[in-house]
Amino acid sequence: MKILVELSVNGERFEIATNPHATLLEVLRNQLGLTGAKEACGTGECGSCTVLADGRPILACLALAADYQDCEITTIEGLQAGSTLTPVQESFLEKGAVQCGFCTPGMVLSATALLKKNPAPTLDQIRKALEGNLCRCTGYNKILEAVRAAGEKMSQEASGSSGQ
Amino acid sequence: MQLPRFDLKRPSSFHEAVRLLVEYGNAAKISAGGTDLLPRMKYRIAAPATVISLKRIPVSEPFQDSEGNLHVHALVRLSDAASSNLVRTNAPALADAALAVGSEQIRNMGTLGGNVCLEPRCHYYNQSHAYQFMDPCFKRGGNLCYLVPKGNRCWALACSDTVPALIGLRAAAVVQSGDREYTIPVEELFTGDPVRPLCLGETDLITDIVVPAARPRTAVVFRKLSPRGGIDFATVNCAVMLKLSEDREACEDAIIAIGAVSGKPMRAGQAEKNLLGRKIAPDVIHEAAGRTASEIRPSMRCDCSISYLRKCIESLTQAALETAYQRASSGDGVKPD
Ligand SMILES: Cc1cc2nc3c(=O)[nH]c(=O)nc-3n(C[C@H](O)[C@H](O)[C@H](O)COP(=O)(O)OP(=O)(O)OC[C@H]3O[C@@H](n4cnc5c(N)ncnc54)[C@H](O)[C@@H]3O)c2cc1C
Ligand code: SF4
Ligand code: FES
Ligand code: FES
Repeated sequence: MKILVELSVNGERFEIATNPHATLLEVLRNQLGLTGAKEACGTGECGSCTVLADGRPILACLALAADYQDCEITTIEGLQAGSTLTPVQESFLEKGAVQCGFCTPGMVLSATALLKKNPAPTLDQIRKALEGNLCRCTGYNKILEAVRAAGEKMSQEASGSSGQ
Repeated sequence: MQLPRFDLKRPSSFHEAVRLLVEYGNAAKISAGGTDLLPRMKYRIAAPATVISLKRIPVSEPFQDSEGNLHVHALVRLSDAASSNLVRTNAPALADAALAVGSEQIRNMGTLGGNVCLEPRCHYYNQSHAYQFMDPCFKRGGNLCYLVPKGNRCWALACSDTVPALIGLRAAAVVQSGDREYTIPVEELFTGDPVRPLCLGETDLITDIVVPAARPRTAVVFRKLSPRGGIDFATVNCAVMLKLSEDREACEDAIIAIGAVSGKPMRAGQAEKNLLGRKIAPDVIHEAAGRTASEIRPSMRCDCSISYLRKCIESLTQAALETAYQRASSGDGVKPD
């Protein structure tokens, strides 16, 4: 029997009839058409399904949709305002941190959550925050560079705007 | 990968959850954070007709009672346990162990109670059985083992990271059992049989973990070794507790707990006893680590040899004891890394 779940995704409320065994990832991709979060392993090991729940990275493939009704979900589609990229997205492009792109939505969301908590992370802190996001293409170095550059960009913007 | 079908119950209190467990019995499984249960369900090694999700039960923040004991709610997420100031100052080993689990995402979902109750794991068992038509092994109710084909028991490993730390801290679990509540030391929760790993009754739930007040000149240290350093389960993990005498030279109390090498976390009782009353020095620590490595009997496994494991146990124990001694003797015995 279907159940009714109320989800708050990228600032919009949705009421969705779905299966009790539906994962958040299935609902996002198949019922809401938000295909940014990817399914690779489906069992928690790769992070390609990462979304933010109340700002914190979680794995949509291991989340029951019904369990995440009380929080604000952000997917990669909800990160930017209009067509302007966020500093993290920009840096990923500038530093060549994207190859096939399958890991990228998860990487960007994990990095975004990290930089919000800690705008000037050390390399070790970046590695720790991204330990659950696997990438089979880039070899990680460009991703680490991109996250670091995004942090710098964000602190510059913050100090720039406070100086105005 | 899809989950098998099930009926979902979402109780809003432990009382209600226990009532549901009584009602549905064996056909129901608990999901706290779901990061252990749901992969098993996707692999088709668990297929409960009913899943009881604890997500709606309100979670209280860690707090300290008037005697200084630290109470941590079982449903606290590991990332919150790791970043809680109270936990970091009063039980840094627990914070470090929580931070060593899986990944940021896993820690944002997985709970402390779920980590304590983590199902013992084995390379044959913890993989997809969706297209496997082999006979079930002991752990799936069958009568054979793929890891040790001539054996007559299961050799799956208890891999929880927080459990050795909780043993080092002499923590206890508060258990809701029907309308009754009882407390049991975390160390006594485990049977050692990977097929039925917990001493809890079928309808019992852990509601809180209580860590006794930190003692003076005492340090508890957690260390983990894993293949990639992140995301992986421990190859071996270890927690040691060291309490020094008033002159901060001799050992007054010690715990050495080794995890992920057996069906339950192991204590190195002989090595601990041998430390008591001894003046702590590099050779004494070295000896204790050596004794630990020869005393602990790791189970058979397929990712590394027993002799390699013994070396890991020795070096991990040595490193943990050195740090514990440093912290206990420098007065900031309870400060985290
Ligand atoms: C990729 C990956 C990596 C991982 N790495 C690690 C690791 O490095 N170290 C580690 O220790 N674990 C690891 N885990 C396992 C797991 O994520 C953690 O152990 C986590 O803490 C489990 O908590 P949970 O709340 O998600 O458990 P759940 O899946 O919700 O529950 C696990 C089991 O415990 C029982 N249970 C849960 N809560 C209670 C309670 N309050 N009372 C009684 N029984 C209860 C349930 O019946 C269930 O069978 C990993 C998992 C994945 C998928
Ligand atoms: S050790 Fe043997 S019985 Fe136990 S889970 Fe692995 S294959 Fe099954
Ligand atoms: S698809 Fe969710 S972690 Fe790999
Ligand atoms: S860019 Fe291909 S997996 Fe990361």
